[in-house]
Amino acid sequence: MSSSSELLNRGGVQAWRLLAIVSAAALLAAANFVFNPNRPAAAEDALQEGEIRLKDAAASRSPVLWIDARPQSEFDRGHVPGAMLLNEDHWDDLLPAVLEAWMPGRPLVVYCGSEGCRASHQVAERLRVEAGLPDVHVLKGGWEAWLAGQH
Amino acid sequence: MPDDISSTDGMRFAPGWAHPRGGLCRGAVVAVLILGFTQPGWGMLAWEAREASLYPGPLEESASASFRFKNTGDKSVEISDVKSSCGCTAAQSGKRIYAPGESGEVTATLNIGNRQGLQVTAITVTTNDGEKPVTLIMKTLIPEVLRIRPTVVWWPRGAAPDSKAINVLVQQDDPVRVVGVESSGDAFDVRLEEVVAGRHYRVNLTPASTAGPATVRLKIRTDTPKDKPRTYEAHVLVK
Repeated sequence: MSSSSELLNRGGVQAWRLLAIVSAAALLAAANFVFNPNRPAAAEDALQEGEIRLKDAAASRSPVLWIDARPQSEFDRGHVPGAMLLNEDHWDDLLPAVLEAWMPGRPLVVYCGSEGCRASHQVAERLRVEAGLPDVHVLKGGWEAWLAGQH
Repeated sequence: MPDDISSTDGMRFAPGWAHPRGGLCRGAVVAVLILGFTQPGWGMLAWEAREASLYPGPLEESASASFRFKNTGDKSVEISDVKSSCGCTAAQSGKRIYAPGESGEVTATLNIGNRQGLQVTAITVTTNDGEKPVTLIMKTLIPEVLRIRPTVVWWPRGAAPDSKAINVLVQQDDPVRVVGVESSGDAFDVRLEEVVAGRHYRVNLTPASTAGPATVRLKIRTDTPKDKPRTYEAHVLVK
């Protein structure tokens, strides 16, 4: 039968072991966070609802129909090859051409200038909810992400 | 030694010289003192409000918000950039340089176009006073007079030519009558049905055939507003 001091000692050793294991795990996690170049994306890189990354859009089985939600002037300065302009400045005028190009099964990916703009989300929302079109996505990072992906 | 030291952003540092963590506190105090001495005259814009909510009427073509500020520093501040998150919104300041004590405003104007519902625009104001850019938020709720769902009706090629419908629901308190629907072609049978006068209408659609592609554009005409009745669009396709 163990004496109470032995029990206390054993409990103390176990506590130290547990502490050592937890400390080692914390150190490993911290090292992974700092040094691992492939660590999970930070919160700012997380996808918002309805967003798709460029690499996933590019890997789509059906060719993507790119929708540029920026103003005409920015579209004219440069856009994704084959993209169609559709913004809320001239929604009624621009939508018919998009519908002409769209085919069932062809995903639509909407983009605007950058991560911070909301136009792509608003256009995508209208295509989904008002028009009832399926397979509508927003390009994460917008035009800036597309440009970065070309290098 | 003063009882406490306030940084430029209002954080207060309590005296901590005798505390075991005094090194950290001392470092913070020194940093604040250095900042205080090396940049004694930072200009600073104090904003009356950084967020504005707008409720334009159904006929408005644009909505504007003014964000007023005052230079509360003791040096002039130059507004070097005013940028909107959306090309739909023009944002500008009255002028570039504001003297100490001087007030001004940044104005943002949203082009309503075919927009509806809640529009959120961020306006970033950059100054040369070393402060971080300020983000102003303009929230514009554009009234939806009619809710048309869906605005695009389509049949896959070869599908059964069953009837489908577009529902037109009045969203405002005052009634709106749908007085007619015009079709750009005859590939579909188009019939307007009054479900509840002034509140709910239905446009029933039946394709003549789904054997080949077809596209028509519908114009849904209303009686509102009286002086310039509005027309809404919908699209019918066989794809």
